[in-house]
Amino acid sequence: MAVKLTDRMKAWIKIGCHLNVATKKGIPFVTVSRNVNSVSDDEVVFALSQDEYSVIKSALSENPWVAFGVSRAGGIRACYQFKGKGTVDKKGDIYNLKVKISELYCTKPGCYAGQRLDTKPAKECEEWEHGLWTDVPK
Amino acid sequence: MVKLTNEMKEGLRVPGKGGSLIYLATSSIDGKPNIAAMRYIDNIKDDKLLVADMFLLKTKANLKENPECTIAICHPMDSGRDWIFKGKAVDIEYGFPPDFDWYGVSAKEILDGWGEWHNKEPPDEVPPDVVYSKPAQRGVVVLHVEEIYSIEKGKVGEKIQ
Repeated sequence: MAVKLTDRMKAWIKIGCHLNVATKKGIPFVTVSRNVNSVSDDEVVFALSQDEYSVIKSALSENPWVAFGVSRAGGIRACYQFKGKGTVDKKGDIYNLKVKISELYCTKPGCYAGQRLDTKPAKECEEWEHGLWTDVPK
Repeated sequence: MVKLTNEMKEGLRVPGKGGSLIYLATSSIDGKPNIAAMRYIDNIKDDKLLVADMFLLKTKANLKENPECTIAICHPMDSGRDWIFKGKAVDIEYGFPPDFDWYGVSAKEILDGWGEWHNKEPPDEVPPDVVYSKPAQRGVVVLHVEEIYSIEKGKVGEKIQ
């Protein structure tokens, strides 16, 4: 089933994210993206600086999987984990990491932890989320 | 050999005691990454971080097949707590033999000290629409830290220790 991020998810992602990539043998590498270029229904483009990109460059070159969650207060309020495959395009000094999201999880502590959301129809997912949270960061 | 600084130890406590929310990052053995925010964080000795196994699913599965693990400060960040800790982790669950050893600490030591974490440090500061309705601790993740890096703006990836 296709992923369709809700407006709340998109707003939180724009705040910045922690990204985790891994080598093919499972060594994880975490970086931070403080700037997000764009967020569509199923795609996020992170604008990484040289130092932010250097941490994940090697692992990403052999394995495209990227998992990410929202930084700062998003770690508390944005109880989601996003997963997908990433590609990098360099423009000037910026490395644009485009992640096509294919998996979406709820990480709220308790009975919803690990609940997969992209398997729900988009409208059902939105209604489910609305039952838990209605705050959308500006 | 890594030695956590006092500043790191102060920042690596539960947020309710002035510490930080953290991200716990793991991977399956064939390279599928996973990352999830955690509230319960502490340290033992100078080179080990502890995280409560409250509702771990994929993280637990990953650690059972692949101990490679990273902990990153999630919140507050951009406030001088700009660290990433890398090493090998195990989830010491209830039922582990008391003398099980992970790089110099025993299962008994860990579960006696942090096995009832909710009672010791209840999540009073967590908003009601995010906090769990019932604690369900199943163990304690112990990360034996081997390397520490910066995630400070402009210095991401620089090795600290």
